[in-house]
Amino acid sequence: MKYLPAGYIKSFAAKMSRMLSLGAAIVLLFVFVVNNILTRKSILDELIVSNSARIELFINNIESGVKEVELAVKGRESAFIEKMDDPQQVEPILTEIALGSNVREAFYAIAPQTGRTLMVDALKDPDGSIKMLYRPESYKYHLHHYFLVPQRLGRDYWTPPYFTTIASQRAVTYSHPVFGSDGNIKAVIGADILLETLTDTLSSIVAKHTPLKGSYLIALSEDGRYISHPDKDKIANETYITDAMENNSPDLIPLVKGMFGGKQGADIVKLYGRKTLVTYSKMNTIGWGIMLVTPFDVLNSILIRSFLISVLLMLIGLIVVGLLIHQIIWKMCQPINRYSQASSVIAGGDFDTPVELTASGDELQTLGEALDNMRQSLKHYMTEMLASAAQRESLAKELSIASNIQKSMLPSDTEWEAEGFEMEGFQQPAKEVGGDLYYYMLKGGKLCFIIGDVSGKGVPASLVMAQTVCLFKSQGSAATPAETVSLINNLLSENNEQNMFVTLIVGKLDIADGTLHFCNAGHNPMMLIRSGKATQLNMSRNLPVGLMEHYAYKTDTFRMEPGDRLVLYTDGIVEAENINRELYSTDRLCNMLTQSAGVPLGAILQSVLDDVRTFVADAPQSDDITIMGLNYRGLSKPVKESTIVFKNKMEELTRITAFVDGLATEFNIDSLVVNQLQLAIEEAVVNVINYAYPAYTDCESSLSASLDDGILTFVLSDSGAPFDPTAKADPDITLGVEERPIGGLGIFLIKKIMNEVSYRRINDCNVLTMKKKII
Amino acid sequence: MPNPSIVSLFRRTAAVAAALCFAVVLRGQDASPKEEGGRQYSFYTFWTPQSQYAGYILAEQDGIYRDCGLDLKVLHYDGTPSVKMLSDGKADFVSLTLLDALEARNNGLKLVNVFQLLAGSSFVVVSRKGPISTLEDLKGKEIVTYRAFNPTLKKEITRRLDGDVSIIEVYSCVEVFLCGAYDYLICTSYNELFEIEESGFDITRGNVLRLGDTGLDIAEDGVYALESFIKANPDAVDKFAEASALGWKAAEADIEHSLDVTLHRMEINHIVRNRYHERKMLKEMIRLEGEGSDFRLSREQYEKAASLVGEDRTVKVPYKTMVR
Repeated sequence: MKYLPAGYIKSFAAKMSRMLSLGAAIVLLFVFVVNNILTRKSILDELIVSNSARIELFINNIESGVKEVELAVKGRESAFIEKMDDPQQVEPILTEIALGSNVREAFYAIAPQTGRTLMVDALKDPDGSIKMLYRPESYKYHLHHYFLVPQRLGRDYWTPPYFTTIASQRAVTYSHPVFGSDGNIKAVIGADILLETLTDTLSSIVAKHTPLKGSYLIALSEDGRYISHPDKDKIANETYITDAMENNSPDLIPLVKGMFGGKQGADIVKLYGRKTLVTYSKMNTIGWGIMLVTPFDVLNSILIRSFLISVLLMLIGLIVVGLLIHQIIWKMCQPINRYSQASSVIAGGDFDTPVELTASGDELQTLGEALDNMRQSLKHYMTEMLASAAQRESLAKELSIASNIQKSMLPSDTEWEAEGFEMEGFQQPAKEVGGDLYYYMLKGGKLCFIIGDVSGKGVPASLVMAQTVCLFKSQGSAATPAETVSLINNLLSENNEQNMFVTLIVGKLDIADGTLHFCNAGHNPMMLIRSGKATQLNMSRNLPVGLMEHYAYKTDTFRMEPGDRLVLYTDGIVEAENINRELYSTDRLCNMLTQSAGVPLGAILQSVLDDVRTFVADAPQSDDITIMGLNYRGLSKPVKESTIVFKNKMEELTRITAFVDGLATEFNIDSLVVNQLQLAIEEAVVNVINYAYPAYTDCESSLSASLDDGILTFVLSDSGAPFDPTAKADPDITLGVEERPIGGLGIFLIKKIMNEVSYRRINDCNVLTMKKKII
Repeated sequence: MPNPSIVSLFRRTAAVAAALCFAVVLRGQDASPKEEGGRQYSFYTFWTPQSQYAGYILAEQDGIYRDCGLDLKVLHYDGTPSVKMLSDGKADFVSLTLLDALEARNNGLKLVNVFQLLAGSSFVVVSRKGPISTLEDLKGKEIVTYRAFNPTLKKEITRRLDGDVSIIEVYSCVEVFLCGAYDYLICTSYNELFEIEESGFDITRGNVLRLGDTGLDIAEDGVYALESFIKANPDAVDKFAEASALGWKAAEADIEHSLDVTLHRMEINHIVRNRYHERKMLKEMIRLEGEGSDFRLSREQYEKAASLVGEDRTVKVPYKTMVR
């Protein structure tokens, strides 16, 4: 295989060659099988014909000798009748008969019915001389079958083979009855033929006309006894019936009976355990049966030889046909190979090399022309496509630039935290550029912000968006929200032939006192999160900007409390669709904000966006998404700080409690929180008093408190032995009181009450810092 | 009863020739009985070797006679009738049919039955002209049979058919019958009947009549010796009877072995042989012995046969005199 070209085995020519060779093999096999069957039948038919002819030949040869004897006897009947009364005159007649070529002995016997008895034999010696033998009176010839049968039946008779004492050999006797003019039998005249003479004749004729190798001849006398048989031991000993019964050949019996009944032909029978073809016929003269037996394995050997020759020829033929087919197909496939190479060239992007066409005028030429046409079309198409791609690339680049420009128009800090408030926004356009907008800025203690959604999408919307943002940036801080919106409306309405409009909210928050002025121009209402609950803020309804010039927009006012949060959004949030075309909805947004009320502002916005993504799942984003949050803290009061120094005595607890109460009053802390603080501080201080210093020593420790941005921070400092209470593992509060180890609960209580507890060892002092959010 | 040839003419003549040759050999070996004390006895069969004598041949071949203390030589038919062999002193024991023996006794030969093989008749009549069921069906018919058919039996059949039958004795009766010269044949059931069947003639129950079924169930083959011999050699006679019985029992017990021995005997005597035919013959002989045979001729069998012999059809020799 290594000498074959790569891919040869899978080549079209090889496959076609194999398939056609296989097809040819199947056809040849079928032809071969049919031919084999027909050949077998033909050989059988021919064998039957040839064997029948041989048998006829054998019979004719034997019968010619037999008939010669019959003629020799019957031809002298008249002369015999004339001279039968005088034995001396009969002798020459007998001599003539005895001198016949096959005759061993001639005789005549006078019928006792004539009143006299006489039997005379003319014996031929091996040297050809004739001797006369006059049988004695005591010899009862009339009781022998050669006389008795023709006498009684009045016809010629051939005896079965018998042993003649005169010749000391086996012989057959021909007897012919001689009748007088009165119709009565006068004598029997006849002759003997030695059986050997007949069997020799048979052997010689068989030798001359040799039957098929492996065939053999069987001859039977009329009494069914074997005269000739390949098994010499059967001759004279066996009859066909004893042979059939003794040698498991029952088919032989009906066959021979039929033959002796006058039937001739060929039968297939099982003989001596072998399937054989037996051709048979009966001699009408001496009544013998002749069978030519051809075992089927002889036929089979011929068939096998024929089969092997056929198989060999078939294989040679298949190989030659296969090679021829291969060469033809290989040659025919050359244009296909060229077209294949041309296709590869075309696939490689070379549209300029023309396809080498075959001028065969057939389908292959058509294929080549089609391929070349395709090449030209592809070349044209590719030229156009390249131009289009360049155009698209340019457009994409422009859009990218536009997108960047648009992004630059949004606040540079999406997370903006300043004194008194925290602001955060997020935008996700549906395309490269979008129509959503938001912006916020701080001017003169006023936080100005805008959120909006331009009708339509893409570049036109982005241009209007840019225009709107620019107007807000330039005018948003100078006027009231309504004035700002009116200004934007009037400018956009002018020459608004595209009838584009913008829904938006413009707001202005006074950081100092929390007063929020805002104007809603057809936009989704803001969400207010107060005390952990989100609600839609009531707002006046105004037309979107750009629809009606000089429309009178109204400003709404709302007082924000520190801790209030506002969430503004575009319809890309609430109108986000999932694959079932269901909307995210304002209610779901409201619920989502309520659930996320306690978390930082950025986390709230992120939770909303995540929930929207979960909701829409695999549905494509159809609109720009913008969300913006405002966390109002108000301006902080100045940081207040107090410190108390105490000794390691339990009496000092009273002072500590008063110290905490003073802080509660000063910082306006809720009474419930104050109780918690008292409990935590007492636990911490008692710890220091009891364990920080050696007993009976007089040492001092300090507890300082400060409030900053709503976080009340206690710092407990002692110079005692190093001890990190935060390192102690939390007790297992699931155990019963008896099972729980002593101690450890105080620290656990402090951790539970305070928002943050930390320990540091600074300058040989234990410094425990405890923070509690009180606003 | 002598069993004259039934085989084909060819077969018979060949057998005769072979037997003659055999006789020459025997003469060379001095087949005459030897003197008492180390004497060799002889037994002569009335036909050539075949399964009809399987028990005797086996007893000789397998040493049963010798084991019984008898030095016996079995001689086979050489053309001399059994009666003559006995009367001439050429054989000590001869096989004969009961009727032949009775006729010989009537003719003055003092022979005595010392062993009885066939308790009944083996004769059958075969028809090629439709079924026969009684002897009466043979009235007016010509029946062919072999030469030297027992005259007493022939006479009795003729008498029973009021003389309206013709029984023709011929040579080669089987061939004559088979070629259609005669339509009826009297032959033995153990030989010719099988022979004609083996030649292709279809034997059926309808075309075969057993003489035994017609009141002519006369015992046949037996072994005879002269009174004088028996008187002089009583032990030898007893041993012969004992050993012959053992021989037949052995043949019955192992038929194939017996056939091997018989066929070998036929081969060395140049007799046409056919195992299938001989097997059937042996089985028929065993059947005709009768079940549980003691190989003795019963008074009833004897008197039934003796009453047929002679012109006056009376038992002339008492059972005790004729049967040992």
